[in-house]
Amino acid sequence: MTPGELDNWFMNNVLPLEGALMRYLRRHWRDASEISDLRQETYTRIYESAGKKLPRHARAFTFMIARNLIIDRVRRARVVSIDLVADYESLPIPSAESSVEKSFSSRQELKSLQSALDTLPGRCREVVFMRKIEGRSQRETAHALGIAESTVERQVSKGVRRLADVLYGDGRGPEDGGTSLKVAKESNR
Amino acid sequence: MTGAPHTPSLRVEEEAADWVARCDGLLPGTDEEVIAAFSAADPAFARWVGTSVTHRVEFLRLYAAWCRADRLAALAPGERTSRRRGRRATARFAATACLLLAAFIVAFVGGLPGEPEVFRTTLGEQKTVTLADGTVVELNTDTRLTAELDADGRTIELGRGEAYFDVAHDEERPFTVRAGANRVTALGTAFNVRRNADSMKLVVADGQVKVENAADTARVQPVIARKGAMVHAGTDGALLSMAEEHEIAAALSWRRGLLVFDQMDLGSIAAEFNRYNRIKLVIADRDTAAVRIGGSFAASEVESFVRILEKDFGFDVMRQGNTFVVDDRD
Repeated sequence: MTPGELDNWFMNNVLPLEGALMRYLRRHWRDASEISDLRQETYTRIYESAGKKLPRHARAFTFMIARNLIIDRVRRARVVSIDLVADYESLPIPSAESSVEKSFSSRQELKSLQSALDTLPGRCREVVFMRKIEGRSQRETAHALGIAESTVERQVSKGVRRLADVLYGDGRGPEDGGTSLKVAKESNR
Repeated sequence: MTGAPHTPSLRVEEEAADWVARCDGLLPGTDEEVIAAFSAADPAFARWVGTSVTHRVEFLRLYAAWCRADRLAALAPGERTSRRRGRRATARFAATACLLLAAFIVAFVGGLPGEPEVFRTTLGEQKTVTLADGTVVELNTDTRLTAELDADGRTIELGRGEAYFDVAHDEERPFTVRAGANRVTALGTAFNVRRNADSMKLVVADGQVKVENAADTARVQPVIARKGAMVHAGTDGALLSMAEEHEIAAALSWRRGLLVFDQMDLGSIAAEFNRYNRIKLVIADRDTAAVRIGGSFAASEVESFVRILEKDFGFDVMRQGNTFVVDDRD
């Protein structure tokens, strides 16, 4: 596989799992501040491994990697807080049925995108609006708003992170049937 | 996220976001081989993305999200006529059908209600449009459909191809898709219709729909299909089955530009790819066509698929003009 093909495989087969992955990580790792580290490391390991040999079932593979990562971290921690992971040796791998296919409803995705857009701070929102809804180029957007192109870039950078959290369903939606312990644990450091 | 500790992953995310923004400014709309293209254009990026796999995956993650946000374009003034935001309000005015309001609509919307609109995609093209009532329609490759919305109803004629409908709720105006002799009426939200020469395949993603055969309503009973149902309707009748979640997802994967095959025979896989691409796959013989494989592949990337057939699945592939001929090695 060429790097480009591996990139495509990753984007098409792994990224769609992020919502479910984040729910899984949050459920089994109590320190909320480390969840995006875990996600990034999961992706890194998946990508490296897939580069050597493409897994047959991306979903099972992803969760196996996430699970092993959590187990590794627990083993490495010098002081294992009882709180940290309830019973890591019996960490389950989510079954296929437990995922919620968020991309079913295109109107829902549009709505999510729209509300994400609405939560962006003023200038950022204007820029994303012009680039995505009005389809203007970076230069046209800069001219229209009377700002530098580098400023437009900065706003796009802010906006894309917010959009990504929404699109990948950062695992905190109301349809998330996860535990209510999550919120309580976030303040328990 | 303000006030949260600055973990290493957040730093990588910030840097990746900056690079996505730079890439989008420099090479807007690049889908294929974006990292290769951007690396060639900007050596600083090449250095950053080459530093670690973590940089690369985070870039891919954010870049993919930025591309998916292109869907926001469906909110823009629509495809063929200039329709404004606040479509739903406009549609309800039309339903009460007062002369004064009709004039208001003509002035505001720029067209008479009931004027059919035609939407088309070429081979390999996909397009999302929003109708006047707020319904979102995604058109797949090689598709032609006509939409006619008026005070009494909403009718779509699917002349050829495939489309996914996310229907705006309107109790007073039923939403009907006609595919040949078959009629699909929406009683709720979202479904996918594929028209073949003399049959139709329907997948219900949400809510429920009614399927009937307009040609012979006396003989053939209408069928109510709910979320998770797959319906094959021919000239003689309709067959309904309840599909598993992964089967539904596979049937709808074209919306993400993907073809998902679950141990499907190579002959059918080739036919699927050929719907999307000018370069055609030809299978050498019946035995090769019967071989079953599985996986997710980008619909537009025939050349990548062919490479996978060669390298990972062990087929022989020969390029002949505008076709790839595939043969089983033994």
